Order: sequence, then C-alpha cells, then structure tokens
Amino acid sequence: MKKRCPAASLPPMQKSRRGRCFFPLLLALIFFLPMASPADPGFLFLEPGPEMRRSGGGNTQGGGHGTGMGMQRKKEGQEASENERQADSKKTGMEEKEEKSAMKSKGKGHPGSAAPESEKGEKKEREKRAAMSHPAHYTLLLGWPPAMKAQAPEDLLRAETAILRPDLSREILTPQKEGPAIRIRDAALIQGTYHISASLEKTDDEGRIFRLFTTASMRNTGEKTDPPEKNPETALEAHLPWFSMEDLSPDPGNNFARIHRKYTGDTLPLRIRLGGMPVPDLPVTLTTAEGWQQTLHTDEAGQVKFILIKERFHDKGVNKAPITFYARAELDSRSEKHLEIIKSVRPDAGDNPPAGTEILRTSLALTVHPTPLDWESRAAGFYTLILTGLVIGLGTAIRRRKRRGRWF
Amino acid sequence: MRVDRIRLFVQALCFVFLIYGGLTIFSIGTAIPTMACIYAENRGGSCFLYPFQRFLSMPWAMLFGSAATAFLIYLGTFFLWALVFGKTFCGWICPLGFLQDLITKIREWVGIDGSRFAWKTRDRFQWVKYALLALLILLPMGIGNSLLGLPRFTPDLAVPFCQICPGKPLIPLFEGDLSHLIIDFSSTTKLVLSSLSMLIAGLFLVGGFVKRRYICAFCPMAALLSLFDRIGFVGLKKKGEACTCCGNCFRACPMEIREIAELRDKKHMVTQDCMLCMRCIEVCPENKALTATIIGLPVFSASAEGFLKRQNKTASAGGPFHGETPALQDTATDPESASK
Repeated sequence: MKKRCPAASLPPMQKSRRGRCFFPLLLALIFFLPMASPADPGFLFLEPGPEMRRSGGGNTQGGGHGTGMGMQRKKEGQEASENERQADSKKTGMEEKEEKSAMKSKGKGHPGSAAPESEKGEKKEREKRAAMSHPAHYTLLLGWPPAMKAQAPEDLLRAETAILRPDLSREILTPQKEGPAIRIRDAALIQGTYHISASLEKTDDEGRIFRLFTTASMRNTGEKTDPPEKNPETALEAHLPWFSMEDLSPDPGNNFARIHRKYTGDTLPLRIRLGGMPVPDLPVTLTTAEGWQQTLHTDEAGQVKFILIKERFHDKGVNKAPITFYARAELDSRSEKHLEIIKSVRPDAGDNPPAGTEILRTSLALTVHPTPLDWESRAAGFYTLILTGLVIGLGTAIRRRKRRGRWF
Repeated sequence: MRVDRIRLFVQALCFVFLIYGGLTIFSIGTAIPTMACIYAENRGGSCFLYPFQRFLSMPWAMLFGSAATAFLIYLGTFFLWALVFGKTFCGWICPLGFLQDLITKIREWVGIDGSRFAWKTRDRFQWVKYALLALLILLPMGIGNSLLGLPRFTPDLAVPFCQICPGKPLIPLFEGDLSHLIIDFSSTTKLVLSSLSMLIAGLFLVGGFVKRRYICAFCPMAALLSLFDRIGFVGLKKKGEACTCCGNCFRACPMEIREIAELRDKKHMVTQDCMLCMRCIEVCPENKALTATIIGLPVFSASAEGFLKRQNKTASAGGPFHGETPALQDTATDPESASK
C-alpha cells in the first residue's frame, strides 16, 4: 500500500513554473507551426509505390524493375489488398484505356496494342502482356520532406498526372485511392524510359495560390520496339510540367540489361526550368530520408550539381536498402526577383499577375542506393585471388619438384 | 580438320555471343543450361541456375501461385534446351569450359606438364556436384519458407551457388567489370561466400595450369544435364564388338572418363562427366566403334581411314597426334593396366 503524504507536507504550487514552460512552447510554435499548418501544403512528390519496391530494384531511377504484376511478393498468410487484387486481375490503367480505345492505338508500335480478333484472343493477349509488364506504380505524397506519410489528403485525387512512354504515346492517368494512399498505376511494357509528371493547384485561407509540380522517371527492360518516328526531345519538352526539375544524369544508353542505379557519393545534376526557360540563382534543397539537407543555387543555365550525401549507416549496421532523397525548389511571387522570373515567362499577363500571392514549387523524389563501397573491398578480393593462385601454384610446383625432380 | 580445333572455334564464337551479344544481337534468354554468367551486363544469354535459385527462394504460396506459370516456362525452356543439346552445352558452348580449355592451351604452349586425377580421387569426389546441386536447391528454399520447422535462412544466402561460382568474378572481367572481384564484409554469410568465391576463382585460374577441365567435375549444371544423358537428342554410341580396347579414347578424353575404354558392353556412352567433345571418336582407329548420333541418326563415326588420314597429317606437320598420346598402343597407359 502506498504511503500518502499529508497535505501539509506537499510543496505549494509554484506560479513561476508556468513561465518556465512558456518560452520553449513559444519557440516550438514559432518553428513548427508553419510546417504543421494545414494551409501550407508543402511539396508534391511521386515516390515508387509498393509494387515497384517489391519488385526488387534495378533499372529505374525511381524504383525497381519488376517481375511484373503477376509475380508480386506477398507475405505468407497476408490478405490480398484491394491494390493487389486489382493487379491479380491483370487490369492496369493502360489496359483499361486500351479497352476503351483499342483502335486508336492500333499499329503504333505498342506490343499487343492492335485490337485482337476475337474476345478469347484478346483475353489471352491481355494475360500475356500483363505477365510481361513491369509495374509503373507511384504514390503521390504531399508535405515537407522527409516527414511525409502515405496517409494522403483527398486533395491529391485532383492532381493532374500523365505518363510519357518510350514510344512517345502520352496518357493522362487518374490518381486512385489505394488504402490510405493515393497512387497512380500503369504497366510498362516496352523498352525505354518512362516519364511521369504530376501537378496540383491549391489555395489556402489567405488566398495564396500554391502550384505544385513534380516528375519521376523509370526505365524498363521490356519488349523491344521500333524507335518512335517523332522527336523524343520535343515530346519530353511538351510533357514536362511548367515549372520542372529534371534529373540530367547521363543517359544510360540502349543497353537495358545493364542495371542503372544511383548510389550515395554519386553526382546528381539537376536543371530547373520555368516555362522551358532556365531559372538562375534559385536555391534548391536536397533532403535525405534522415533529414540531412544541403542547399545550392542554380547557375545561369538553371543547373545545379549535388553530391548525394552518405547517410549515417554505422549506427544502424549495414543498410543495403535504397533510401529516398528529395530535391525541391520554390518560386514565391512575394519576392521581387522571383516575380520578375514568373512575369518573364508570362508575357501575356503583362503587369497583371494572378491576384494574390502565387507560390510555385517543383520537386523530385529519387531512390538512391547506399554505395557498396561501404561494405565491399575490391583490394581484399584481389589479394585473396592472387594469394590463392600463388599458394596453389607454388604448392603444385614444390610437389612436382619433389616427385619428378623439376618444377613444371 | 581436327575436331578439337572446330570445337575451339565454336566455343570462341559462343563465348563472344554469350558475353557481348547483348550489345548488338538479341538475347537468347536466361534459361540456358550453361555457365553464361548473369552478372555479365552485356550478355547475350545467361545461366539457368540464377533464375532457378531465385524462383526457389520464393514462398511456396507464391511459387505455386502467381509465379507458377513463369516458373514452369523457365523449367520448360531449360528442359527443351537440355533435351535438344544435352551435354553439348558443356563441351561446345560453356564459357567457363572455354576458359579452361584456353588455359590448357596456354599451359601446353608454355610447356608445363599436365596432371591427371588418380581414379580413386576422381571416384571419391563424384558426389560433390550432386551435393552442390542439392544445396543450391535447398538453401534458397529455406529463405522463403521454413524447412522442417527450422527458422528461415538469411536472405544473404540468396543464389548461393552463383555467389561461389568462379564465373561471377571472372566472366564480367571480359567486359572490364571488376565489381565482382570483392570481399563483402556486410555479414558473416556474405564474408564467407565472397571469400569462397575468390578462393574458387583463384583455384580455377591456377588449377587450369595443372589439370584439364577439373572444375567441370564439380559443376552442378553437369549434374543437372546428366539427367538427360539417356533421353537427349545428341548421343554417343559404342559398338562393343568393334572395340579393341586400345585405350586411345581414354587418353584423348579431356574429362578422363575411363568407362569409354573400359566398358565394351555398354551402348550409350554419355556418362555423367562426358561433355560430347567427340575427341574419342576422332582418335578411334576402329570402324564404327564409336558413333555420335542425333535422334538416333549417326552424324560422326570412327573410321580407320579417317584416323589414318588425321594421323598422317599430324605426322607430316611434325608433331604427335595430340599432345598427350605419343604412342597409340601403350600398355603403360592402358586403362586396364593403369587402373591396377
């Protein structure tokens, strides 16, 4: 039984204690309230969805090259989610679209795009294509990196998303609610780079207009097709959002067997453009999943080069899993310099910018793998190989010398 | 033209295709029953064992569920390749076999004497390739599933054979890729496997200067392909009554298979180590004692005439018939006396 103190022995309530809590609370409010404020939506990101993550990583800049929807990994005994049931039924956004307009895409070089003759043939073709396809599955995220959750606001359902395929066919994708998250889904079938873009417009209570843009890209090793007749650069220009952040990493070429990944320690060149014009002297911030961040300013060509920061792996043991890096940049019309930039690409608007404050934000989520140099040693491998060779070679020579009287 | 020269030429062509084919030509898939390493980035085709181990590491529910079709397609493709070409893959296509043959050529050119396995040693190690085959099936299975109530194995054991195969560090070297010549310190399993890989690669390179094709004696792919020895399209038949037990076939055999000379009653001579290189047919002086067949139809038979023609050509070139058989009827190297 607890011993109770008599009331008289209790110390009197001290008023000054309230004062002690006040300043830390105030400081916390000053620092965290703007971030927690629901009015400021933060940045828009496209992160590889669970299907791409499950598929094991590989030839993508934003996820992994997969084994197709028919081969999703699922834990034993786990109930199939709505998302997976949809995938199992071999129904992808692209296929749905094709069902609607099979004739439209006929003969455009997309494998299986021609309308099958019979329904049976169509079903077989669809199954074959779904088995061959790699998932292009992205989660839309809204907020301040790195503390973003898949629990997304319903506003994201309004986001305009589109995919540009290697055959230069462009399609508007509809964001859909999958559990707590809002995702877009497509099936990558043919070889090449797929560009995905998303944009969202929001207005807060103060009348500030937030225009949020983001892009993502993935490479697919799928079926090879004829090169497109149109100019891919022009198609990409048209596809990119108005305020864009592009990853200018060197093109990995046409060898789709090669695994292309970004590793910590690599260079990440980015280009920021507004309406196709480079934006100079704009601060761009790169944030790691752990919250480390660095800010650099764009040059005259709107370009900036980051060195992908190494995360602190030593206190967690060896972490080989990929991590997400977030790059972001902002143009605020309240800043005169930024307003001029915005005006310069809107010649029609003249001196009459949109009413209220306009904030343009662009961002990029990148999957980065920890560099294997953290846990691998080529020198050790090389020395082991050489030493083994020397030991076996010398051993055999000495044995022969003893038995046959000659070294070889 | 000598068969071993034709074989070396075909091997070189296949090597170039399998290592660099991905750059320009189409790929022939990832279910080929030969040691064409999947870690070579510009490959034109790759070994069946990598996807096989990957499939086996899936949970049962997935392997026999959503991945069943793909798994069956893989198995079917492998069976088809193995049925049609069988052990020809080992002797004529395998890049690791080609590398070993190249090392042997260099050894002969430099003038280093080769060695042979003692027959007892050879018999003693016959089980190794079957043990490796069993391990490469069981270990991945234990990653995705609990075997006999045991806890699941660490994912570091994924593709266990590929992690120790000498092809992994050596074949990418031909594309200038040194990234597999490493020791991995991330976990004990990785450390052990990567060290083993380096040791085996060292053994492969230097051992090739001592014995011919000795790594093939431990190859699990050979164990898999030996399942098709009797039913495969390509065969090697022996006519017992024509054989005089001269022992030429045994002495010429790169795999040192003594059954080829010892057994007169056996009709099908494709044994577990045979790689269908056809050297035995080439050096056989007896008419139709040995015959290579495709779907039972003879394509290349031993003949006294052909033997003498090749013998004269070699003699006029000023060398022995082949490096290791200066005398054709030599009781000292006769398998029967040698076995004693």
